[in-house]
Amino acid sequence: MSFDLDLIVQALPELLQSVLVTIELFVLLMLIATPISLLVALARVSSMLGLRCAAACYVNGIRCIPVLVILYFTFYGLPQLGLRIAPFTAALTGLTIGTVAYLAEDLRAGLTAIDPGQFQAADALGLGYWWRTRRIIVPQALPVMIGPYFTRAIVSLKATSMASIVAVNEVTGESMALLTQTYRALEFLTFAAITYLTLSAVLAFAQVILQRKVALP
Amino acid sequence: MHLNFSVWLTRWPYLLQGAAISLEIVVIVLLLSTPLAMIAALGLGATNRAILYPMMAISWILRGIPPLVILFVAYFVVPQFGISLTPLVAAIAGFTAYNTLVVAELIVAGFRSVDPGQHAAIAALGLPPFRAYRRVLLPQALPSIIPPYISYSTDMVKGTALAGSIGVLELVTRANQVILATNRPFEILLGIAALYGIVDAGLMGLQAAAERLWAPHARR
Repeated sequence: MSFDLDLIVQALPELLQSVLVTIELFVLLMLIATPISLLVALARVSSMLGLRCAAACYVNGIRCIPVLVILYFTFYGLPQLGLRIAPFTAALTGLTIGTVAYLAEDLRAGLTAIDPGQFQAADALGLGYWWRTRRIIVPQALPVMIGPYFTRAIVSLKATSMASIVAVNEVTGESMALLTQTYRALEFLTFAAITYLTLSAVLAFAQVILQRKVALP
Repeated sequence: MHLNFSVWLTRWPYLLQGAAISLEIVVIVLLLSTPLAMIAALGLGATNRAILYPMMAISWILRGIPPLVILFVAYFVVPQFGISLTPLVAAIAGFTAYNTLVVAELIVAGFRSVDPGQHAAIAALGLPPFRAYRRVLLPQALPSIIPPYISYSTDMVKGTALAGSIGVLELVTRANQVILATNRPFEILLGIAALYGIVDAGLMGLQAAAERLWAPHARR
């Protein structure tokens, strides 16, 4: 049993292409999921009962089922509804639905960490809801949110590997395709593992920098 | 669209057998990984760097790559070293490796959350190490270990869905087969979502109860 680096060098163009697909999937996922999650988290702490219940149902319902099953819903289920979408879009939609539920729960913890006196002070000053949320609540919640946010981002990065099961050729899918062509598992799975470790190291590094930037005095 | 759940009338025994396999994986993985995690936690909490650094590296790698890739390694790479595993055994091995390090980190964090003054008090009272752990440290660490432990067990239940990718006929794989055979994805997926929901809702209820029981303000 030896490690044949040539195999990876030969397949490098395809492998790098698949790394780009992983990055694209992950970046789009976070760009879409972050604002929606923040809205769901705000709905979870809203004073309107209906909004609070709807958000709680969504979050707890989605967190009960495997993300893979959500991917099957968007991949197999949506066409049954007459909606034909590409595997990449199906995977992105499914991963977004799942990630929003988990991320909203993480962000909510940050919102509830704020001193209730801040809400009262904002009310006393007669600030409107959006003004209060944007200028008072979110800036104070950010330092608390960054840690859990990046932890969730790394979990989501790892979750993009599931897109390979619904026919997206990201890094896990491409590694498996090459594995079945060459019957060499060690080389290609090592490549996939190193890709994920590198990308999550980049995220961990970004977290350290951001945390320093937004730290409260 | 018209929902027609009659597909379940003939397919339910096949799908429920899959659910039984999924549950079997969860139970075996939890039974194996919990004691292993306690041993790994000793390594992660070690002061000896020759033990600490390799353990940290193993933990970083296993928690840094997707569980799906860990399963592929267990099923495709391990046989290249002469150990061939059946899909079920490979899935259990892969999930156990992952969950062991996740729970070990949890245990280490739990023990770190105990007030350092407690260690000083143990030393002052001259308590033997085993009794100190059992009577003083463990009861104080458990409240911060149990709720996330249950939460990760919920993840494990959902994680078993990945075992199908290396050929284990668990619930989601069987659902996939039935979908292809009947072309009724919505009905099948709603049903298995409900099955996962029942198990996970039970675990979430357990977690909520544990959190209430050991909420910080309820502690003395």
